[in-house]
Amino acid sequence: MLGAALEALESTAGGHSEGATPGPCAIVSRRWVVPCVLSFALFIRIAVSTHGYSGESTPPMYGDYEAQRHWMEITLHTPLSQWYVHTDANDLGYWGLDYPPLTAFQSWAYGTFFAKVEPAAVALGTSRGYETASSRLFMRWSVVASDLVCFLPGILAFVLAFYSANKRDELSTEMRAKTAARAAGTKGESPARIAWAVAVLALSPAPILIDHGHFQYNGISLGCVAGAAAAVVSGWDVTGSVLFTFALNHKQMSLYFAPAFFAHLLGKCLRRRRPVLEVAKLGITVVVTFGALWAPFALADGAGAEGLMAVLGRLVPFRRGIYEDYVANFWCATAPVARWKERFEIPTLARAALFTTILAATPAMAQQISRPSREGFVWCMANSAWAFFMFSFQVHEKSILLPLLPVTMLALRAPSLAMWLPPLACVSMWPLLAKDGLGIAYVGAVAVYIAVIGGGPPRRVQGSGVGAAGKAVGRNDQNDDSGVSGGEERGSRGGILLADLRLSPAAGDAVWCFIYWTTTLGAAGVHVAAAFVQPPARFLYIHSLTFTSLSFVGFVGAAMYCNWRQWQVPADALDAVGRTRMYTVVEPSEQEEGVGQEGNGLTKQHAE
Amino acid sequence: AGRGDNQKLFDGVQGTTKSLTQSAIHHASTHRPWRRSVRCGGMGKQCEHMHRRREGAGPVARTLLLATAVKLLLVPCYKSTDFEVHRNWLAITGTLPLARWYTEATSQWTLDYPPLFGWFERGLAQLAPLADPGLLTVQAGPYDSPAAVLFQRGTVMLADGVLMVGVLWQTSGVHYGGSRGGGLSLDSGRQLSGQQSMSGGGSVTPRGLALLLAVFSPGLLLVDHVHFQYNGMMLGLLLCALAAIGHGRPVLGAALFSVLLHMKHIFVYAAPAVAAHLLVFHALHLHTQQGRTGAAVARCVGYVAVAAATTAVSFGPVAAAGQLTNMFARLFPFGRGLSHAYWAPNFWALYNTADKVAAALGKKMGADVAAPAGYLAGGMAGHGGTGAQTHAVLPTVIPAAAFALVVAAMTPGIVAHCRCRGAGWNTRSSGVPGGAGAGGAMAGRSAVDAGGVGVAESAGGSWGATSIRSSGTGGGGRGDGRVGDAL
Repeated sequence: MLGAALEALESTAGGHSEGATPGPCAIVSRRWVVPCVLSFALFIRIAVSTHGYSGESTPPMYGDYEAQRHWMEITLHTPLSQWYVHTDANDLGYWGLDYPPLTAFQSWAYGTFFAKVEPAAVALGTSRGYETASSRLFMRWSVVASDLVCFLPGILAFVLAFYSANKRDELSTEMRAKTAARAAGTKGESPARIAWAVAVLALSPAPILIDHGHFQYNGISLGCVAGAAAAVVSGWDVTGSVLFTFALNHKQMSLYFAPAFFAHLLGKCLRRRRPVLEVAKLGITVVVTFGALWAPFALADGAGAEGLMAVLGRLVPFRRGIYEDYVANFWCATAPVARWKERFEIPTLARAALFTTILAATPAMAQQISRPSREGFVWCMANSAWAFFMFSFQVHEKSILLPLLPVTMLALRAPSLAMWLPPLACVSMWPLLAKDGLGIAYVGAVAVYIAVIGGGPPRRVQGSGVGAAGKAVGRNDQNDDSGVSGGEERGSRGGILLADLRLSPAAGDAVWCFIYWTTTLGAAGVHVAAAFVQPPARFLYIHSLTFTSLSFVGFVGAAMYCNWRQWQVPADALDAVGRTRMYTVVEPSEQEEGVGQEGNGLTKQHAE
Repeated sequence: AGRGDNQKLFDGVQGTTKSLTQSAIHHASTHRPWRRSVRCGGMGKQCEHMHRRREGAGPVARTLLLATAVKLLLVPCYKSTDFEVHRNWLAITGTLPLARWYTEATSQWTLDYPPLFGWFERGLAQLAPLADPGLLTVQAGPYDSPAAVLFQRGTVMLADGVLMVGVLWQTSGVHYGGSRGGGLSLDSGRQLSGQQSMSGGGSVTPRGLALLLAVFSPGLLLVDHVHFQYNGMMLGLLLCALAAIGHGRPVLGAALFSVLLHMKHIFVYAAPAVAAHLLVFHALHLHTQQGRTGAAVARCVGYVAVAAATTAVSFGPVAAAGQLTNMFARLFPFGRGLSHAYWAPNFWALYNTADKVAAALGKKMGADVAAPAGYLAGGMAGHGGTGAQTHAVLPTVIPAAAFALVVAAMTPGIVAHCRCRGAGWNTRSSGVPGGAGAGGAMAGRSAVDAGGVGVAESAGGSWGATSIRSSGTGGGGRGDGRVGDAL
């Protein structure tokens, strides 16, 4: 819906032709679209936060909400050197702190503020299971604030950095002469399309449900990752490294993206004049950032290395099994047949997980080391996250947020994927969400996403502006995933209801349509079965397993597709300074004929 | 304390929804001639057919999906005592015979809507046990459970379907040249922006905009889906009635409006204006302008017949049960006094304030003013026609005085509306199809319709008729001007 609305808005805003008066839409200036989208995203977050959360009123252990509150209590009332250590005041058996230092600092900051508002809510020892209405409100708003400060700016920075034209993207004089006719392709995305991309990221239901429903602060680390990616695609590699180190130190799960950052930055450094120096620069940046964040634990009470080891020991979760609950990854989905947990010891499984994860991430890393590119880097983020999600040790169902982030970041490059995957990610988390009393929120958040995002992005406008001569390009994008839909205007909005709903991707793309409706019907079927069919006594968890299996099939497909897409992206050109720059030059003829991925006319240009 | 406080909100909602809708309709109608001449050239029917195909159900379906999704997310929000009010009505109508609907007083939240709303609740009560049997217990205290909340909220969301139908009907286009006597001349397939560039799939039509604004009306979201009431359904019925009239089916419109009155009698606010419009524009003109006196009389008979039939269906069973007196006592609680505990922002708020100020001043100057402490907070309740003094200084306002003022206030608007049959009206009613001229005529026509709504609103002490200011171009100019003046 949003896509079509933005398209209309764009054409309204662009010069009026004879006889036309501005439509009512003109009252919304284009510059207000993104703030409107962000406000709506904020509203949805607040609305979701009125629903249940993990461990609500379930003593004695409660859930993630209590864990976060407990961390505020601990960091506020115990000395820093004891945050990660079992003491009389800090019983690690009760939601002991097991996230990296930045989470601890964040807990301390919120706790300090919380103690001023409602001291009883973070009183040491006596506040366990503290759930007054006012304290819930504070906790909920702390997550909203985190999204406001971290997540939303992070995604906004990424979308602007990645999709809009910037000066660095402009071709050198020589190149411009060569490709004058193709200049249209080097321009950034239109404001309407950028607004749509922001909407995809800001309304993606899975992070909203987990942070504002279930209760976590993923927005902080995901926002840092998006910000880091924004910096990296802008050529600010040092800033990117710092931000990514922040993410890593907020949730160790951000490690899922480490191979991508490593490979892309390494690949870029290797193509510069002094590769060793460049690598060293980034290496030192990471080490210094790490040092700054971890130093307090070594310095406090003169703990030294012991203090650091205490923190490290809490972060590695080998005590737990190879997967937690029911998660749509390789180990869990194949468990009914392979019976991993029964047949193997934990160390064996850990080694197997490590090996398979590295193996799965290798192609994506190799691609970025040998052919670094801005777009390839984001695909690589998705692929390394997929590798970790599928094969690594101790994966939660919530970990799907990590591969989901880069996929939604690539919304304008792969709109069909971005329309299809976020709802499926929520389906994969259904057993968790149902347990948290988030059933209604789940339906609402997913429906909001489908309603707003469904219908696809606004079509691209060919030509220099959106004036009278501007014409929507037939194909949605020269390198998107709408398949070979031919010269026919994408999305003729007629036809039978199902096609016309255009919850599905481009009308011309039967494959995506098929995938979309198969998934929708499958998910609906699984939900109906879970609601009405009593599971047999022998397979009490059969419903959880069906949710996982359905999602697993989808995720495998998505992971393979992401890998394939990454390998379609050639290396970016380098300018004289040695920075990577990304531009795509589109052959007009190819575009009109709707040639697929291979024909997208990206030119490889090495300045060296 | 729960019900009357919505009144002001409700009035605002009513005004907003209608004026927004009318505004969007109106805007579209001014575009019609241009659209026709530029985009369609002379292709006529075939072209229109293409437009219809283009529009499809997608944007509408997605708007409805989005609205319902947002409402779902609001399910756990605060709910007022009106939630329990409607829960209690569900129990009363669902478990008791009609004879006891208007006497049952176990709970303080007695049924004080007309019988048709009672039947609506009775229909919902058939489904309620599926969600939570506890919903149907008549008890003094409130009843609450997650399933009960979801069920009740769900019924409001479903009932909002009437609002959506109302908006879509009200904005439905005339694709066959206006031969059916008009309609609101909104071409549903038309893109909002009106630019030829990118026009292929741009699906934000004025109709879509009207729908979006109606279903996301913040007042309705707050009052219906947070506070808890069924105003969306009622306003939808009102829009349906107006749409029926606008599409040349005044008797059907009259029937729908009668049903609305018997669902929620607060809509009597609009009754004088609707009645005047139906009589003057859809009956009297047959006599004065076409000389078809017989048809005019037949139409009037039709009005009376449908109104009487609706009333018979609604009040008949109540009368048969001997409960008419009880029902009227519930429907018109004059005993509640002039103002509700939460004053509506109307004339009486100023009056009450003036009284308070006068009383304070009088006391300061040493006069003997009998003003018990907190008498204003009591909502002026209590005289109930007994003639007891409610104000300290100013005269007590008896119901008849209030009624006379209301009649006096709405008369100028209604008279002006009845006199505003300009050129646009004449052109339209003679059924000239298509073309730029007709487009202009329709613009004028829809301004007239908007004027009707505006009159109703000003009569009801509400606001929101400002949209009429953006009057149409072309043949309807004269009518517009007069409506504007009158308001």
